[in-house]
Amino acid sequence: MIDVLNRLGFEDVRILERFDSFRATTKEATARKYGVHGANIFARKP
Amino acid sequence: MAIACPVDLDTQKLRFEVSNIYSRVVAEPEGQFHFHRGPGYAAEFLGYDPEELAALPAETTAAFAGIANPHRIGAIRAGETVLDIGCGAGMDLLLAARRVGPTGKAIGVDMTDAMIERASASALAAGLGQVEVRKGDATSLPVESACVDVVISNGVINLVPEKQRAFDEIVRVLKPGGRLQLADILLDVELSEDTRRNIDLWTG
Repeated sequence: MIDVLNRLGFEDVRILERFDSFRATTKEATARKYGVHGANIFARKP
Repeated sequence: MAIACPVDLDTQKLRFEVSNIYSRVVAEPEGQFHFHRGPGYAAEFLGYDPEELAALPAETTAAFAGIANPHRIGAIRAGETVLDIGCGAGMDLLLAARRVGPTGKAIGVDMTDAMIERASASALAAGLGQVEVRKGDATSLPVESACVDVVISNGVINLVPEKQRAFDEIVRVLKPGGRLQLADILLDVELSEDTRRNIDLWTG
């Protein structure tokens, strides 16, 4: 994601926070298998 | 996140499935889903302010199904124009509307009629006249170019197969210096082509 946003010309691209959003859901095991998590991402258009 | 999707992915079927699932969230938020919903989840897992959520219409917060929290990324200021891509039932949209105040504008875009109706009704109930909800999707935003100060989105871009088009649209609508405050899914591993073709995995 960071690479994609940088490639598009965004500046100051940052992942600010991660969340274990699928904890205690029926898809928790799948999320763990693929390393799926929620994230807060910031970017600025030049 | 891979920006391309498999060329033979049935994107129409994917859109249908996504629309179906989220229409069901509005109709019965207490139903069986593979993801969390509601204000309790938002506060406990994602750091939303429970008092702020309690001040919003319960029908909106009950159908919240975001994956992170765009409001923790940066301040949204009075008078700004905010665009919420895939606004759903409107929880993030209404929070943004409260921040921009009556001199600003909060535009929500969603492709699901049930979500549009719910978000519009909730904005009305909350007395937030600065909210406008439009029908559309992330790859063709019904928004003029270079008119948005902040784009927010919560758990939506990962469901869009044509990610390049979605990001091009975000670039188009943002003003120079505009901010993207994106709450979405990240993966720690690169998915195989077979896995990326599996619609069940896209939708949960």
